[in-house]
Amino acid sequence: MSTPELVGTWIAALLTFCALSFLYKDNPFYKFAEALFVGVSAGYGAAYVVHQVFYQDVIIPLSVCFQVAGQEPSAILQVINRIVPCILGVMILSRFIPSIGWMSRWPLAFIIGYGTGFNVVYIVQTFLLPQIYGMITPLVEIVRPGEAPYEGLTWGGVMVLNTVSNLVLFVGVLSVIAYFFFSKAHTGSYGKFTRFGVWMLMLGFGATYGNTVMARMSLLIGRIQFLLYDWIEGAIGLSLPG
Amino acid sequence: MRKQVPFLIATVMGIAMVAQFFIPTHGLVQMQSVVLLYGRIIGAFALVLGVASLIRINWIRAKRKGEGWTYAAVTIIGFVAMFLAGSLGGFFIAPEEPAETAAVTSESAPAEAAVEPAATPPQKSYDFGAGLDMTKNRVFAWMFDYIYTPMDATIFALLAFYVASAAYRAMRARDLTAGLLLGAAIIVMLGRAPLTSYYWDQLISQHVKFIPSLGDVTEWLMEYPNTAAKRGVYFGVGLAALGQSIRILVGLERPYMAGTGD
Amino acid sequence: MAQQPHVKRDIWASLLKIDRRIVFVFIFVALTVPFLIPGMNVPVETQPPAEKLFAAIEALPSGSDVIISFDYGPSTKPELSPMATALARHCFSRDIRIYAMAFYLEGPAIGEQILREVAEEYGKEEHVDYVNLGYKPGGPAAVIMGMAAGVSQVFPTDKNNTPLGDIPAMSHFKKLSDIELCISLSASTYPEAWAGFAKARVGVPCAGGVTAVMAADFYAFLDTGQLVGCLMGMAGAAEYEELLVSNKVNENAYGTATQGMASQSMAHIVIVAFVAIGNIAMYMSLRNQRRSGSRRRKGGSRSVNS
Repeated sequence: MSTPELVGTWIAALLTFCALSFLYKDNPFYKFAEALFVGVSAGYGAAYVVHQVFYQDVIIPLSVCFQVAGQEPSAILQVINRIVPCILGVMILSRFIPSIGWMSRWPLAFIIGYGTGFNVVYIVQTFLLPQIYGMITPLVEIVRPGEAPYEGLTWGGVMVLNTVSNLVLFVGVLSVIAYFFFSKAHTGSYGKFTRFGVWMLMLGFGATYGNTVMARMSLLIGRIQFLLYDWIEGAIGLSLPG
Repeated sequence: MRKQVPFLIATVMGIAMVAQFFIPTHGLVQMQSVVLLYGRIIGAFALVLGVASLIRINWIRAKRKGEGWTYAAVTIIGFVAMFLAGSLGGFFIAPEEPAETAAVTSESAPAEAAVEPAATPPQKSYDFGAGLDMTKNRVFAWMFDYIYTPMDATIFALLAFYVASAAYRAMRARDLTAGLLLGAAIIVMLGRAPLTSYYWDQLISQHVKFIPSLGDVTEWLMEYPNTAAKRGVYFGVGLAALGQSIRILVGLERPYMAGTGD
Repeated sequence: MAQQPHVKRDIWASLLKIDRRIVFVFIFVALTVPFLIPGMNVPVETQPPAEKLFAAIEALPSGSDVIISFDYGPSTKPELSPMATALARHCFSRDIRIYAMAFYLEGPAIGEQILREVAEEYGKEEHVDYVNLGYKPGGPAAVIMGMAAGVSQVFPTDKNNTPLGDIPAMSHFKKLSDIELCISLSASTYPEAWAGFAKARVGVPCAGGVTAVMAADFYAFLDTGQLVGCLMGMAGAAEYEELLVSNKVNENAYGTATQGMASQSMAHIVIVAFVAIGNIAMYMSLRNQRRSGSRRRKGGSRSVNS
């Protein structure tokens, strides 16, 4: 381990402990780590914006356009296409001055307007039509001769598990939609149908919760791997079993 | 000027973007490219707005020396250090060789260069681009690896403890619906964990005929009941978002007016 | 003798009120100990979402072009970086070019580190076998649809400001339609956006690698074929490592994800145990309350009667 790596690993371990100290209670070490994180993260973001947007999308193209302005007529258009969004961008910053804060509405209207326009088609193409197509499939699956052998339970040539699963999915979707339809009272047989929708939702939320637990544990595993292997084994030099 | 122009901008842009999908003429497609470029550059200023706002608030706190001003100062120091390391790192790195890219670029992609002259960089007196290059700008890489990464990762990892504590306190099978939620969560937790899944298979499902493997049960739960729930929600969310989009396009909702007075 | 029910009730009630820090200690121990005990890892059972993604990459011919979008930051690295490493290994082993990009500011830095390491392993070169295009703001619509019109319009240079014209690999990637597969490794809903723009508008197959938190949302997309495959959480990454090893793509592919699976399992067992204890304690506590309530009522009625 080189000296910068060694120093870095120790600093990283100390910062990790500072952040973990919040588990006992809020304290100055955690507050220090939190404040430093906020600053460093903002600095990182600002550096990326300078490089990846202002330098790449504005400064380089503008300097090239100015160089070829005489020979290439489209260069003027390119200059305009960089200057105008920059002016609109600066108008966003007018939110800092209340008297001219209204100027920020123009660039925001631009972003929200085109984003909304894109969204109209995007929502239909992503969430509505494909999900409807996904439901319009045969519900009953039948064992067909010549196809790969089916090892599951069959009843009169019907693949029982596949068919039941398809029915759960199909009826489940309809019942969930029915549950969110509030124009009709959830009573009688319709109420029982929406009740099935609630069960599906609960199973879905439960699955999400189980996965959430898994995700959070994974993040902590990452930190434990760092402390055990990078810090204790790498920086301190202790050898661990396992 | 203050109310009608933003409304006109939003509506015209929105309708133009819908129109270019249904009527993909050359002009509208070109317009889309320009609009997207504008969007990226304005989006960068939106990031600047966020960062500037954060720094402004912390600067005021540090200057007034009220409660917790030292943390505000730490935030500003962290910001300045990381920003300088990233954006000015290229000043301290010698360029490998003078850029001779103009001719190369125009030969390799003449058609695109005419439309998009951005592919040709100017003559560089220093390697500005190396600012974000982790192999060259070691200061930036070091700060990212040993300061930014551990704090970001650990602060989020704290959630592991709280999610466990919440599971203990809140996950109660008080009735059938809560029981279903709890049951699904437990099946997923055990089914997605290799140790429990493996031993379930070894000790139970391989010996008892109609008991499936835990992994299969989890996968069935995710593929059918979970998908039914999510698909139902997607229909609702999709229709609501579509309605909201149309309300913005016709000016019934004007989110761009928020927070800027009358 | 008369005190016994009271003692029992107190135990169950106090179990329900234990300090959260006790739970924290159990979790920390459950996560740490498996790393210190050799031989706790067991084979990882692969599931269809990961198998489908593996098959999709296996089906690509040598010399294909794949986008890996690093749409995550350090906070979700333990889940998503092993996926990136495994996918990069699979692509490089099949001589598939990788174009990295990001919707997260931190994505390009993470991508650069991972791709450099895996490229060294396979003797691959930056700009020939892989390119890191970097980050662009403006959202998926602006970036993905911009790339559909022309990559150079969105990324005039790569992350480190090398002009695209100077990058040999970019001669294979002028527009999004030149790409055979887009994979979004995301801590958010970006695979939806890739499916909605790249797949629906341009017709490029898409796949995802998501944190386990998001996993449940993407089964609907797998069912419709909007995503050809998906890796879900650290377990998904471990499954992909297993697929690389079992299919002899890379016999040294077991990485941090597989290494963390015993620890993950132990944590789940402890949480399930806590949930079980919590529920038993709740029922016992309620039963004791009911019993003592009825006893009080009985006692009360006796005193009234007497």
